[in-house]
Amino acid sequence: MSPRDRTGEASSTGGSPSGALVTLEAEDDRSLAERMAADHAAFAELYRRHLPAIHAFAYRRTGSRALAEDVAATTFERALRGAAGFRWTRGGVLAWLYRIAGNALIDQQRGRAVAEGTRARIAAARMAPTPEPGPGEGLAPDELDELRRALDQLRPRYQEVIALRHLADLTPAETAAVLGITTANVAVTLHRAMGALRREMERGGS
Amino acid sequence: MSDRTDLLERMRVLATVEAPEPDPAFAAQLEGRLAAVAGTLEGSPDGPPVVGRPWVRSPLAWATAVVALVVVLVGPGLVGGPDGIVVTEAIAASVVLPDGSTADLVDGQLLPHGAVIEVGEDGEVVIGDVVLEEGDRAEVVDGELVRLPDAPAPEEEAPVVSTARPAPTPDATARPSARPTTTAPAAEPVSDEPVRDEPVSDEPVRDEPVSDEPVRDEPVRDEPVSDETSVDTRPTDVRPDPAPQPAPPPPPAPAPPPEPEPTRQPTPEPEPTRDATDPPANDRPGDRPVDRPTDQPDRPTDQSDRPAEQPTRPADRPRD
Repeated sequence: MSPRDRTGEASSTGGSPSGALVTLEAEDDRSLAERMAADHAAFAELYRRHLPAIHAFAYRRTGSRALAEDVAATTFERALRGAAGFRWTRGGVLAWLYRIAGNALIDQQRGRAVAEGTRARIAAARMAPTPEPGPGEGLAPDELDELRRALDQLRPRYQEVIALRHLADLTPAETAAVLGITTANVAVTLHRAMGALRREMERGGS
Repeated sequence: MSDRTDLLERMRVLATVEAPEPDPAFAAQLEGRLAAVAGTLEGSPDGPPVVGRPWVRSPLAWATAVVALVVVLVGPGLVGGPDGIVVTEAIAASVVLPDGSTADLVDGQLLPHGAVIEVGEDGEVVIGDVVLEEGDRAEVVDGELVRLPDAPAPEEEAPVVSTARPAPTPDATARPSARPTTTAPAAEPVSDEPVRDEPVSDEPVRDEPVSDEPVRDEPVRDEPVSDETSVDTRPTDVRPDPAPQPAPPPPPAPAPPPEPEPTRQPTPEPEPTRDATDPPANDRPGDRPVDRPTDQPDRPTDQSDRPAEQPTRPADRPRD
């Protein structure tokens, strides 16, 4: 099941049982997004809808539930503070949240790198608190961690575009819209990013 | 692993790793925190009322404030000023501070005048609108970022100059980075740079070559080359003084015997010498074309200066 399947734009996964929001749940993301800066109930509804997707996105990238929760919290807090600046583009609210989450992941990784100093500690922090539900098909947890470690080493722009395209499963057009660049630019950046990732993995494996 | 399809497959697997649902307690706690944040946001319906400051909500006021901020920040040069510039974002980069110390470059770091940034492998540095990528080098000069040539040319040129002037080489290696464009003109001698950096010290510098002569005496074969190199340094010093240039020319012709003239008169002199002695100098293609035009007009002054040296050189040769 891809992230997109799990979190359709108008889906209400993880919705709150709160009865006061029944009418909101029927609304689509766009109308909620248009009101979220001024209407915190609208924002709360968007939060409930998309928290699972953002949490899963962060979890896949970090491999840690604790870190994923940190990223999710940071993401929604930043989204709330920046709600007034949101402009609807292709991909909608979720793509916007993915981008915020991607930046939060990069910041988090940097912060850990500065604070802890070594990759080994980062890896340890990642693995410690995690009762992994299970790795992906055909890849051992170590291999997934190796892939995450390699992603951590990429420059932020590369991390961002890879995360949006491959982890968040945004289309090139959605990625371009959320990054504010052209689809051709996305393709070029992604190509370079994957090349850098491949080199990083080869370096790590050697 | 290096296979592209394999990597894509790995990414696909990573994207489909089964993720746990967020902890309900965490979700509820975060929602409460967001509500609290929403309450504190200025201008929000649930937040504290904004009293007595209607301009806060005025888009025009905000636009004006932003424009003013941009002018303040960008006016002096990027995000910085005379005190230095601030690093917006830094990855895998180091900085050599004016005191000679080296440190990793970090976000938000204030770089003083004279700091040299070096971007490492897969690194990136963003300062204002300027993006330095892997292998780039730049120096902070008066609150602005000046890109430096990639290759440390002095190291390559050093051996050439060392035959004529072993002593000044170390100075030269240090300065080219400070003034990449000015070093280019003479191209051949690294020893030119020290003189240019401090025009006031021209005379003392001239004394040096004299004092160096004993050292030069050793490589007599370099005479033509060393003459040019030593002469080239002076023309640049004399540049600001156009007057002295015309006066000296007469003496050079008669005084210096055929030796120096043949090499000087042909303006292309520097080129032949480059071909022969400075093949590595071509590593900095960008600098030379710009500097050459300035050199050429100065050459006459070189000749004017040479006469002073020439008498000493002929004397050197016999010594050898």
